[in-house]
Amino acid sequence: MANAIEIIDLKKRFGSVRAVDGVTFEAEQGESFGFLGPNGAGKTTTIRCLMDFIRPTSGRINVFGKDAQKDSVEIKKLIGYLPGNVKLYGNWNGWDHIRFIENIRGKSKNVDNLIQSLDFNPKIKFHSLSSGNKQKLGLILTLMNEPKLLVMDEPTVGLDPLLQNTIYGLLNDLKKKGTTIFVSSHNLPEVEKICDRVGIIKMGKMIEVETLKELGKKRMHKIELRLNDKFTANDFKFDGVTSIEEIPSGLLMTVEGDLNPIIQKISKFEIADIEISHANLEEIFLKFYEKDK
Amino acid sequence: MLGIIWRSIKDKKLSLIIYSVASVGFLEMYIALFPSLQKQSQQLSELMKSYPDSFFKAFNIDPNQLSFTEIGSYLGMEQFNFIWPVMAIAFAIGFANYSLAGEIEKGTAEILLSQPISRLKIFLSKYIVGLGFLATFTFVSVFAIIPLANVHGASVDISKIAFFALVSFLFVWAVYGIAFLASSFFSEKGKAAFAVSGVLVLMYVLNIIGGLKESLNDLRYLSFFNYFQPANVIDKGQTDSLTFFVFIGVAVIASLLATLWFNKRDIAV
Repeated sequence: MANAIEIIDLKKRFGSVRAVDGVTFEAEQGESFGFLGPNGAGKTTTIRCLMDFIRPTSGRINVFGKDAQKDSVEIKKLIGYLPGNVKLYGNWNGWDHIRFIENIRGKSKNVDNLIQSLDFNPKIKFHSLSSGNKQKLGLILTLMNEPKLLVMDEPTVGLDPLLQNTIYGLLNDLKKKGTTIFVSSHNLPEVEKICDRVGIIKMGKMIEVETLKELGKKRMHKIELRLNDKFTANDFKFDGVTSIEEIPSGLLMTVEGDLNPIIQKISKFEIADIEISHANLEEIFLKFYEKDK
Repeated sequence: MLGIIWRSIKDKKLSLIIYSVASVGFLEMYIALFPSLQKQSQQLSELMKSYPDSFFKAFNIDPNQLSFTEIGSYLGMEQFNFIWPVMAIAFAIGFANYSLAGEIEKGTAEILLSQPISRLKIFLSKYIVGLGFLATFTFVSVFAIIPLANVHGASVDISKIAFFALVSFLFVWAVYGIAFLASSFFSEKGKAAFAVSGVLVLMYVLNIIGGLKESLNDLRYLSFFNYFQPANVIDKGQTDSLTFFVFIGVAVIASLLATLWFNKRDIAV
């Protein structure tokens, strides 16, 4: 079975600017793949290449085994695309947009359900809708023809938490039905809620592709330590301890890799209190970004 | 493709109606004035003869065609020499910009491009509607001469009017081709409109300069306004065959280039 998305050594330059510089990854069918990175990392450019809005300088993109550029029309029958800030026709209402898409893609079977579950009024003109309702309409248009692959570029940007949760709920339902979801975001909690696997992009290069579980298992711990003995921060400075912050009668440390050396060191002191926890995804993500600084 | 065609017609039909009504309104105004001008044609011709040659060249008027006795040449000189071309050019540029650069500028190109329809079909859907609208606008504007002239007691030669409608349509098609090329090239309506307006103003200036100095006469061949001579066409019912060659050639080449460019370009909303 072909991968839903297969991107091989994708490069895209705008003049002298390398927006995407050799990105390679794949997303399996039925998988939820998060594409993480800060603004300007190359997420949107990659998605635009995938959607054939812009043409790669070099590299290959396959969607369900077909070339994203040559077989663009065939592929788009299977894709639902939702950009971050949905831009539609100001003078059309929701129905106008829905009928327009139906004229191209065929009659939708679930548009009424979507309207109902998102509590959307399709009689209002697009320019009069709030940003949340605009995004709802975008989501309806994206999902109404039950795509096999859902491509979303920062889909919840600027939305209130209530609507964000509605969208997460819809996406989780789609996951259960086997829809492949490809979502770009710089919002880690969002990716944690939706995705099975993430790719992290930095300055146009893919620096990590891992499952969320593996990423979470990265040997990175936070230690909050309180001691009865006298101590200094320097007592705990050695390889693996990436940060030390002094707190009243104690220290906050971030430790990478093997915990044994630091535990042995701590055991030489009289401990008042200790808490060791896994670093969250946000901190792991930041670690990737700080590596080369 | 039909979905896009239908929506474009629905979205822009009001513009077509407004432009057509305005054009017919101007026509009615000029035709209504014609009988009284016809009565004073002798004095008006004398007055016009006193104008310097450069005045006629600046306004693309052939002084030998100046006549207030024939409604055809009168309308060719008044309505179709300036007001109608300005309206037709504005309509052509407006529609071309709405079709491509406008979609990119507003961000609505994303919804079109994310659908299972090729760029070529998107382009053609928009292009065909615009061309149909321009043909409608031209034929309404020109053929309205016949009933309006009848109402005001003037007679016109229908075959000459039909021929003039054809030449007018070819003129506006050539402008539309260039406008579509600019619209496919730029991502902002303003820049596209500026580029086409610049080209047309340059053509207008070249036509004037070419007429003012014998040694620069060949520059006129670079201008659409050298080939579009409404008073001459309505009066004689014929035009230089080069007119067809230039208008059709420019329209076809510019439209093909626009298609190729739109198909090839990056569309980053």
